[in-house]
Amino acid sequence: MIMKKLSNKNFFYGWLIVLSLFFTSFLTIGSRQGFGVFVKTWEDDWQVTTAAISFAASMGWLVNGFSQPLLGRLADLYGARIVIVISLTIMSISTALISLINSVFGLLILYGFITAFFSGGVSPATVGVIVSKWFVKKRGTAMAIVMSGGSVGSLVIVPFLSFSLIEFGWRYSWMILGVFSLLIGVPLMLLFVKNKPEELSMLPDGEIKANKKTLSEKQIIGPYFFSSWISSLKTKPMWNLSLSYFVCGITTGSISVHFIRWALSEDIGTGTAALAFGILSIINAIGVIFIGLLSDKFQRKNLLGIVYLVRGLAFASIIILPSNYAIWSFAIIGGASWLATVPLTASLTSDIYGLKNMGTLFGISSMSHQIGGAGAVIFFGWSFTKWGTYDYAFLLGVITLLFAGFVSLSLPEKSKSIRYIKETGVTNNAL
Amino acid sequence: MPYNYLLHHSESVDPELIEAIIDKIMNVTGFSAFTMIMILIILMVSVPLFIIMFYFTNFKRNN
Repeated sequence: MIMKKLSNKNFFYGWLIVLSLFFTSFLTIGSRQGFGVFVKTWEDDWQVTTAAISFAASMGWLVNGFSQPLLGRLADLYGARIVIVISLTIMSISTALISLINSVFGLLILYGFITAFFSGGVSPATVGVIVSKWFVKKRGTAMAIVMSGGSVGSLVIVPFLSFSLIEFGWRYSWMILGVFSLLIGVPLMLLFVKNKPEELSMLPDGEIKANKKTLSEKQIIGPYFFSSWISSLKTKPMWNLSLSYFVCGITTGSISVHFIRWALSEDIGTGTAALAFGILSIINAIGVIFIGLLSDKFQRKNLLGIVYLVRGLAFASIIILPSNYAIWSFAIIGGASWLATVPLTASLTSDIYGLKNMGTLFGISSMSHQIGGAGAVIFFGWSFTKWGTYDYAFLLGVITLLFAGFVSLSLPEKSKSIRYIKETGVTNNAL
Repeated sequence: MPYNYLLHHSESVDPELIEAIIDKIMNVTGFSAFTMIMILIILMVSVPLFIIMFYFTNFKRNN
């Protein structure tokens, strides 16, 4: 019935690519988030401490951060499709091989280095390159749908791994996930995803060639469409985007690690915290698509600024409200802004700097995100130990989010983004 | 020493949180772990199946 309805419409091939990349995000983010499911089991099986296992995870976080500009650069040079296919293949094999390991050292190599490194090849830095080439006018929506795959993936794969652990044990759980990803995720990418619409004699956004040039054909050159990515580092918008994304890392990284510890320190039960986190995840998936839709109609920098300020409000509510109200206000307000920064930052990067160096530049912003996250986790833990409360750490969250909000609002989008620059008629290789 | 806190860091789901979520799901639904696995596998497979059907109904037919 649904398919019959869908088949009556004249769909642009780019949407099939968006769906395929949605599934890639679904697999990669879902499986990486599932790591936490096995921590207690590994502690018992290998007789090791949480710290030893967490070391592999934290190494994975940093390796993933540093791999993104590198793999983003390769995507710029050789096409994102090949980088994504190779990365997803190695990630899948490495995930399946985790089922064979017997020590933390094996976990460090397979999860902390190999999986983490190649998951950088299936990140917004590479996926965003393909989406930006297929979409110009609906770039924000397309990017948001792909990113929401990660939220949906964690809502499905993390419980799957948990139940699979209960029923089949941890080795079979990793094996099933790796084989599933290898046999279904990789062929889907190979079959349906193409680097750019020109490969299928199409135009971005599914526009039809006519005498009058379409938006995608206009060959608009932005003032910051540099041939070398290094030149971009000397411009203000790149710093605006990276600094605000650094704050995004601070606030999401700290919550992913300290949210449950804060709830326990405030005498909120784990059951309530679980329900709140579940609500946050659902609102997050809906929120990112909603923001994506809005971003194709309004200035993206304004939405990005609002998203950071709204998240700041969520952090402030934790300090101001009594904890039993704060947890719900945080889940609802914070959830709406959680993932929305990714499609907005990625779209702004390609709008301002063009597509030639998009993988490298967004990879650099992503690296700053990961560094911010790692630093925040250390600070949140240290401040709780020192003062016996998370209030000061959350206050830092509020201050940095206010900063990120204003930094984003000050982006010169109207003068630098191709969305607002009139046709020049000059052929542009960087576009 | 701050380094100790880095050791507690991961981007993955919190082990205590996921344990609480799983307990909650099992209490609310009353399903066994095996039933939940089957439901979740159907969800996982339905995404690529939808993509393949979307391709055949829209693009393969129109070449």
